[in-house]
Amino acid sequence: MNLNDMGQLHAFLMRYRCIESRPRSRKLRRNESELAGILIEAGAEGLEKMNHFLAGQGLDLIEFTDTDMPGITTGGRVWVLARSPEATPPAFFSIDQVMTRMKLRDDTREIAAVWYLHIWLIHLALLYTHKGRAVSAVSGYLDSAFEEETLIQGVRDHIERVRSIGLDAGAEKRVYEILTDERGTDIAKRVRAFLGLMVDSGLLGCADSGVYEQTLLGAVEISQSFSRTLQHILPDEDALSNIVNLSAPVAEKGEEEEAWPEETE
Amino acid sequence: MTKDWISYLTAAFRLVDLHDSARSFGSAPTSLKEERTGRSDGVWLHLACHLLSYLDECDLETNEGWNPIGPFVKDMCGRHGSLNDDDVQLVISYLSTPTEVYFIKDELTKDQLRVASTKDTALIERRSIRGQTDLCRLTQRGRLAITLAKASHNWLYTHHDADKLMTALLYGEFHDIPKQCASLGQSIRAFAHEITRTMEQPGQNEVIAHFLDRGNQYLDSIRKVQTAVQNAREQLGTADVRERFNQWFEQNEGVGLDLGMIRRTLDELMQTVERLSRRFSAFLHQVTDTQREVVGAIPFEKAALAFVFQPPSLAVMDMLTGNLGAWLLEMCFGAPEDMQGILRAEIDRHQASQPKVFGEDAGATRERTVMELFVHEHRDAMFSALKAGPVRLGTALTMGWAKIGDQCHLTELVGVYSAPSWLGHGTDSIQLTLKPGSLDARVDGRTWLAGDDIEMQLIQEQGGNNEPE
Repeated sequence: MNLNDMGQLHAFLMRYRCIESRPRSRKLRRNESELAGILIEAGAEGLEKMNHFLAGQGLDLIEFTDTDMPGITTGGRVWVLARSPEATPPAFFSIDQVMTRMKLRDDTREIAAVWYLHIWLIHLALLYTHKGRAVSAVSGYLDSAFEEETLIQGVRDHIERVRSIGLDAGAEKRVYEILTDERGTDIAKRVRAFLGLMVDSGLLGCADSGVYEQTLLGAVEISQSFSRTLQHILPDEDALSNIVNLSAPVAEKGEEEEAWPEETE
Repeated sequence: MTKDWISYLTAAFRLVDLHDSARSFGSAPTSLKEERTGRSDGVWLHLACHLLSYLDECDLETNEGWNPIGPFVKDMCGRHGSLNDDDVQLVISYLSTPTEVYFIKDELTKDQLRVASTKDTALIERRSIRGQTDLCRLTQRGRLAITLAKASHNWLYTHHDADKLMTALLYGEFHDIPKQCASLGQSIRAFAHEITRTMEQPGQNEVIAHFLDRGNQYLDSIRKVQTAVQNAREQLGTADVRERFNQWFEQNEGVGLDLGMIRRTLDELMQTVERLSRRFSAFLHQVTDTQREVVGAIPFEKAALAFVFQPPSLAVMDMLTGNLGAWLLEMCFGAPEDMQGILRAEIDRHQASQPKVFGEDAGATRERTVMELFVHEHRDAMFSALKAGPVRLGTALTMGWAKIGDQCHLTELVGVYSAPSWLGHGTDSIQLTLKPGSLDARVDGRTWLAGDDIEMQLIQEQGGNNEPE
């Protein structure tokens, strides 16, 4: 693998985050087959070299074969560019751009960030909680399809629960106001903006019109980074039970098999 | 033992149900009744599985001979107080009574389907001697059932399948090899995926303990598969097999299989086995390591709700998005191939591609540019047409002016229509007029020109009809 190969791989990965030698559900992208060829030919040594280069940017290139992971075309290989759980994301990743695309009308950055966080969590509930899927279950990406409409409804239900609990029960005023101040089709618009961002980041794929599914990259990143990030921010079990007691609809869902917060063996 | 039978049975139940479905063609779809008749304590299956295991064990000694059933009946009645002799006898008569299974046979030659049936379904045979002692033994079907049930669970026997590759090579059954490789590859991948899923789930201690207990046996089995494939690969290279293949190839022309393909299939299989070997070793290493970190299911909806009460700061939300959320780039990483085909290469296709020599007088040897060549080619024809009357760009295309030989020169033609001075005939004598929306012409293959047409006219007298543009 020479510097030219590495440059080409880098440019491609920055754009698409993933290289598949025989894509499962889409056409080959321009140059993708040649780049897969370079990686296959370069072998473990080449991958290591590429990873040395990427490590400086806080990134990992992870290889999967048909033997490692279900859903990879027989004889095929997939490489995903994941953010390294041990490193800070590179400076050229822009959260501002993400937030700008989440804004409606004259939203502030805070409003955009709060909406992003809540839609993201409800989307994780669709991908994991509702399916009884463990956060570590990368192979579950194959059965992760959901409809745009389901996510919109999920967010609507969430906002309804927030509204029903109300400020008196101790909800934080600023967040409460942001989430309950939606008009008309705002939720649908915000969800679509969110889905667009996730697709552009290679974390979700558009399987069919209006149907999305988690990509292998999306599953890998959550499984690798969850316990180092979100895990620490989630309120503890007691706080959570208190809150949940206030809100009947969530408790009704019946999630008996949940392990909270983590099982380490 | 029961576990093996359950994996075997659960794989067949729906097919049996479908076989028993009495639905007639075209009748309105009804929802299926998912209620199984019979007791739901599993006792009959339990007895049957034990009976088959008992007969299988006896068979090791008697070698397809008859076995007395008495000890089994006594043992069962002793173990389960509520069972009596008749109950166990019922199980024996169930397993020994054949039932008829209907299926459709493909008649490849006649291209039609034919209904066939078989009664070869009894798992055991029974013989009464003087009405006293019951003797039983497994039928061929029963033996097959036991083999299948064992195979359903245990990957440890896969290397026997791998040995079949060598057999196929020795017997010259070359058409079987790709199929066998594919099926082996499939079973290897399924085993590897089982490992993947086991590692991803919290709990799973039973499965992990099984793999740990028998880790060496699994590694050994993987090594045996590896050796079998390796042997087959080496065998393929011998002159003997090559000769046999050539004979086979002559007899089976048009099969579309050559030695290279067989070799590649074996190579791919070899790589798959090697990957499994690495994966299984990594797995053993990982489960014995105390640091195995597996996160179970998380109630994300509750978490979202909790964040209304204890919202993270903006900085923390940014951190989350930066580490786990959508990621867009601040800048653009262009790849050279992104630019390919954006601009049309305007390299002079007619210029000699000889390298320029330093010191050579560029003026003296200068080749004509494409435009000059174009004007030179079509100038006379254009002027004679213009003398007859105005010519629109659309018309010019139909007159073949956009071409020299087979080469497309649309750019040059449009160039002349934009700057008629190229024709070198005193620009003031040519007038251009725009004809809105009237251009709609096929240029070449899939290229169309549409939009405003340009009309070119020679002005020989003052007071032409058209307004100059």
